[in-house]
Amino acid sequence: MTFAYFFSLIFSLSIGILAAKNKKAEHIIIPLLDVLQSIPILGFFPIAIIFFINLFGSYIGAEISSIFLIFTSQVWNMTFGVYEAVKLIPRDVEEMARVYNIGRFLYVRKILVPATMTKLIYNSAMSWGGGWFFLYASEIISVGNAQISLPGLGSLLALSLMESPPRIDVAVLSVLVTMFLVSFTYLFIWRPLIEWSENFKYEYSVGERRRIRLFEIPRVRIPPFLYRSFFRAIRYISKLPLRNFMARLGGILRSRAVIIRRVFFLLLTAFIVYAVVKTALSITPESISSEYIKEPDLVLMASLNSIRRVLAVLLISLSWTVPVSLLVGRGKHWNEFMLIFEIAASFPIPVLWPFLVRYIVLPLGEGGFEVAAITLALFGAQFYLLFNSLAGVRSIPSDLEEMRRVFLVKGALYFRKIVIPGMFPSIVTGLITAWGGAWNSLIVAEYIKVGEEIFPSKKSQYGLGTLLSIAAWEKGDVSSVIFITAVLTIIIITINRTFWRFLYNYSAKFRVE
Amino acid sequence: MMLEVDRVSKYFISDGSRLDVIKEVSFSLKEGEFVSIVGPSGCGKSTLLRMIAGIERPSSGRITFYGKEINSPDPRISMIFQSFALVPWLKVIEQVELPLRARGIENAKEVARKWLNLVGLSEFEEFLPKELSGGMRQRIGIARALAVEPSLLLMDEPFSSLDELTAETLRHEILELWKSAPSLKSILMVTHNIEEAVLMSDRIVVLSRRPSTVIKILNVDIPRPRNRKEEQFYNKVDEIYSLLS
Repeated sequence: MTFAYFFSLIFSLSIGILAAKNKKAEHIIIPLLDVLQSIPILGFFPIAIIFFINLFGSYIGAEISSIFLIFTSQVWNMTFGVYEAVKLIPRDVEEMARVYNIGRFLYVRKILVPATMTKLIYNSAMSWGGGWFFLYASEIISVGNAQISLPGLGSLLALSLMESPPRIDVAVLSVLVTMFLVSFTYLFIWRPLIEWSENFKYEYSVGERRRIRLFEIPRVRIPPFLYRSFFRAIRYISKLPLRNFMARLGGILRSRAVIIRRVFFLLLTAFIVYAVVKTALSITPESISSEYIKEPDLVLMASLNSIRRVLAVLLISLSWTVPVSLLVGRGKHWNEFMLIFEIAASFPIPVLWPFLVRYIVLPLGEGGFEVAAITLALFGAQFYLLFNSLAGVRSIPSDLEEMRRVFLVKGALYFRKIVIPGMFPSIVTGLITAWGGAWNSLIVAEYIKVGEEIFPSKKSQYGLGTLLSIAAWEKGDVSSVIFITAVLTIIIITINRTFWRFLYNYSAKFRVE
Repeated sequence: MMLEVDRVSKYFISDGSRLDVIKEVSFSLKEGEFVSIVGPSGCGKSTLLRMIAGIERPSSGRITFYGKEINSPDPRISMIFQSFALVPWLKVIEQVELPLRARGIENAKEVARKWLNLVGLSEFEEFLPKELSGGMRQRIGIARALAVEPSLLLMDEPFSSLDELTAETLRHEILELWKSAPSLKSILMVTHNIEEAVLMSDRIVVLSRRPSTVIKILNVDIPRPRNRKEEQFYNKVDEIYSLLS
């Protein structure tokens, strides 16, 4: 996970800055990112696994593909964040840099990178949450398929509930450990980083002159001894002569730059050639035709089923997040609620999966499958909507709030003319992100295997996720996997380009500048 | 007495410590008067105005309007904002209609139209605020504030986000409208522009640095229309400057 994160960081910084600074690059990169971001990465899980295992053999292949997938799950939105942040740097700062002839390297280090800090760290925190999701998903979901079982908390949890009688104590314990891990990393690493990164914002709000120091957690009360010992450890680590070491490393790198670049380039070319040849060799005439092509009505029905489930997820999310954000967004305990929501959102929902399977799917059968699939997808989607609609409530300027109070505008008129239009752009953004999230988790949720039993049991309940998983795990049929992934991608991109694009453009009318 | 501010104090609690903003401020406003509140920035002038508008509560002291304590916004008081406080997605006519419709006034559209006409915006009814200049935006704010037929008009730095030429025009227009609006009795303006206060008001309340107290209340008995070049005028301005420095 750290590996993947490191790659994402480098990628997003370089590509994001490139896109923001270079007009030509912008025209290519931004639409590309847009498409890549909207593709459900989980749909590519099977393809990536097959591809990498084909290249490197099963063990290393599985590891590399999981790194690759975590990377793809994080990198697009981080890159977007960097791009937006660089675009937001005020013109005068840029002009100042030119007037004082500030060199390229210094400019990147002192102006570009700090400017991206706020967005980058916030998106990192969110992506890290997504990383948990993946980690658990890959562990729990692979339990049914013996060949790629990764040992960990997730698989322990899944196995403990599948035993008969189920080991509730082990299951609850592993959920508690997960909860602890997630909240701990959030509270001690991400939250302080986010607070600290506020320093890099290009705005000066009146009255708030406080400078926020790193590792200062003003709003959360944590037992001080815990806190102190943790930071003592951090300080100890930071005192190690790492800095010198890095400086020396940098020196070596610079003096050997040409050679290093050549070697790197050579390695990269070799890898690409190897990958292309190996993949080309593995394609045989039989593997190109997919059997799903002969069953268009099955694919169509599965698509409709999946779309129906995604829509159900969006409607359910919408129905609770908007009222809740209206209640919380204006309330006094905003910070506390926000913290709870953020931790809840980074909680890896696949953890709930075994519980759902054990207590809903197994006893209730088909209806239970429907409930479980929608519930899981709901957890992959609703928080996007919640955060966006909360931001929407908060984005209504305070002078409008004062105005409507002075002029006694309230009730239905207030909602219709001010609140709902004011929230609308954020809700649309939230819906679009939630739509992506819902697809992502639905792919996993539409296929449940317990022992030899597979849910959904009836073909009429199949979704695209079911077809994909059957092709990947039951049959090992690469071309079917590619075919279904293509269908999925086409559906999503088509709807993105038409319906969501339209709503998004329409909502621009209600944006507050 | 129309409005009475009686030993009003306001403090905020931030990070566990108490921040006094306004301390024991008292003044009053009669019918037919134009009163300005001037003071250094951050002295709590706007907070004071918001308490009179009924959208903030004093920490102690009383504010009464025609003898009745102000606990919530009063329909006879309206306000013009420094930032204009226009709803970005509503057309000009809808901006003015909104408070009228909140009061259940039936011919809201006609009333709104009449006031837009008076501020010279009748041709821009269907425009959005972002399509208009700053001066025109504040004209919408003025039309909206007067359309509800208030007795007291509060103005929070109404001209400070406009360029000087536009501001000067609007100052005179406000004074004209004040004469012609039948219901409007008095105006209370918050400003940090001392010349503006001397130009427009009958009395000026000078506030000190935070925590704000009243330094002095001055009468401005210069006959209207006032001329900035007159000796009386700049003597008054100098007097206020020396009080504040």
